[in-house]
Amino acid sequence: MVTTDEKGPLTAKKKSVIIRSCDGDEFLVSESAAVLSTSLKKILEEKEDRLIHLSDIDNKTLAMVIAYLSTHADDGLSDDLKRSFDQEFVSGKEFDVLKYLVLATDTLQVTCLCYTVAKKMADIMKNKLVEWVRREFDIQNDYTPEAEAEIRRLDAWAWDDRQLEDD
Amino acid sequence: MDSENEQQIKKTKHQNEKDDPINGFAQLPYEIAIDILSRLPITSLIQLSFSCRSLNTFSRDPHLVSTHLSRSSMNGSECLILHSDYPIHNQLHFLQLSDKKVRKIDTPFALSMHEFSIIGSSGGLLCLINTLFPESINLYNPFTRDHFEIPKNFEFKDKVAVYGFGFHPITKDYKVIRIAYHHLMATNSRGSRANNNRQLSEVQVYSRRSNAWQNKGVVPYRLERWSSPGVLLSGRLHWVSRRVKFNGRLERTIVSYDLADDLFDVICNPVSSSVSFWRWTSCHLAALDGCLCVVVPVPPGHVAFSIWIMKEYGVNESWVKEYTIGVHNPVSMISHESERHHIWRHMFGKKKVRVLCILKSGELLLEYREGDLPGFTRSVYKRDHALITPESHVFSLLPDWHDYLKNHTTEQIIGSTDKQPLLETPGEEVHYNQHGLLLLEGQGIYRLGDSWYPVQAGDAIWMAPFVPQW
Repeated sequence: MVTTDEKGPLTAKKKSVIIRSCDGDEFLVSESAAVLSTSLKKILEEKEDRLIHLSDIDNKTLAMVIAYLSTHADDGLSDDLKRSFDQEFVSGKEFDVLKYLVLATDTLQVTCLCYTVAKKMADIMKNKLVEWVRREFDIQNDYTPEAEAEIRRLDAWAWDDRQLEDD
Repeated sequence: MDSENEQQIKKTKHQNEKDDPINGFAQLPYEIAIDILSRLPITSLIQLSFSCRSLNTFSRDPHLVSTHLSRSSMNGSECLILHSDYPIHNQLHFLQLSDKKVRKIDTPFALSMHEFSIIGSSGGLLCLINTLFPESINLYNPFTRDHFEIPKNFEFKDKVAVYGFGFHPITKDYKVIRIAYHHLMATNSRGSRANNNRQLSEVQVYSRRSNAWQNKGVVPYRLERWSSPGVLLSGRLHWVSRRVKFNGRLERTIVSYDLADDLFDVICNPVSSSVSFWRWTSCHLAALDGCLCVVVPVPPGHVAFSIWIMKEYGVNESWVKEYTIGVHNPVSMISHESERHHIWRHMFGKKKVRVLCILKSGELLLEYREGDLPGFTRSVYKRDHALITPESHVFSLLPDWHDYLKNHTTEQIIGSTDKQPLLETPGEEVHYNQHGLLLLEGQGIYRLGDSWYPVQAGDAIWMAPFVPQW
């Protein structure tokens, strides 16, 4: 069964699926790319359904994941090219974007992208101030000022004299 | 029609979500949170753990701890725990070689363990022994400040002991090994050789998992006390035995202990034909780059030394002489104030230099010692370190670390009872008799009075009476 959508009729030689983001936009993806995501693969195996709605992935993030999947499904590209694509893919992205990306890849179970992104996030988080971490992760500091001062005193070695970055 | 699909791909989120809905980090799935955190250097991880309570709890997650551990040992993020006695007695410092910063580590056990030395560091834990009451041994995590005293089971009357500590990556168990010899035998064996081969030993092994000591019988070797604590490598601990009759001659051998199956084994020493080998107690074992190695003084003088490396573990033919390092006198040893109250012990059993590890840059990290206070067992990373490259024989000190230490610790002195050295002695390096020396091999820097003299092989030095010398 082939479904069409407002983006036009399917002329695909290969089977395709349509993935809808939480914003309502739909993306046409070749099945060979979609099955690189373990979750999508499972759905496609179990159902004839060609329209998959992802309720917690937005447009921007989904587009990135699909670009990644399509590149990796391309048999014409060598492994080296794919690797350098991966590097390129995560470089220069903002921490916020990576955060959404890592959640999306986890939902879709795209393991290798997930760990590439996680590694990039770790690289960014290295040597950051605790204030930076709180801001980026929306973490509310639930220590009382006294408790925090006490921690800082006890673990002074981890705090002091370090070239930490706040941006 | 999509509701089912959505259901299918919803995943369980990180467990803390319910406890703390505001926490953005908690949105991350558990495995990913572990993956990200385990890639951070320990200092960053600790910083992060202070951002809120739930992250603090999460930073102690056992899975995170073990992943972080295996990751940092794999990517070789180099750090050292330093045990220093000056200017304050028994301080622990943490040195991250990537930024060459020294950080002070708390010693929360200090109240119950005023004097300690480090038996070993493995699997993220330090094993510390009370040097005044050696039946008391603590395991300590310097980063979380958790410490734990292991059960006492031992009567030390008339006994001396050789130790080892290690974590085995497969059994995931921490073990402390104590091999005790009767004291009378110990003194006896120095003079008479009759008893050498028949020393009674008592092997006891503590396992963290079972939290109990077990008696493992005897070991048929008399291990040298100076080779304690044992060197950990490939899940085994290694010590040096006293000389025993071997192929018709007196030889030392390397004795290993497997932390997984609790068996002793023997490794042949690299240069059994060399007469000098092992005769000098300043030889020692080390682990470099995952290989067992022995450090052997080079005649004449036995101040310079060679390092033999066993390229393939357990293969006796794979011993290779990899480095020969000349005579050195690190600058800080000379300028260091502690010179004023140290004691020179007779050379027997005292190692002036020790090989610690090899750095990513290919440099060797050596430890120079100025002689301990009498009655104290040696500690693992102590005092002073110099970096030496095998080619150049040039050394440089770790930048700023003494200065840093001084600045850092001065604030702490207030209210501390530790500032007095235990033994104040007038022993400065001043001789009333004059003497000279001829340097036969290697090179170094000699200091007489206030002047520095670079010396090399062939140089002669004459030291007049009462000239302070280092």
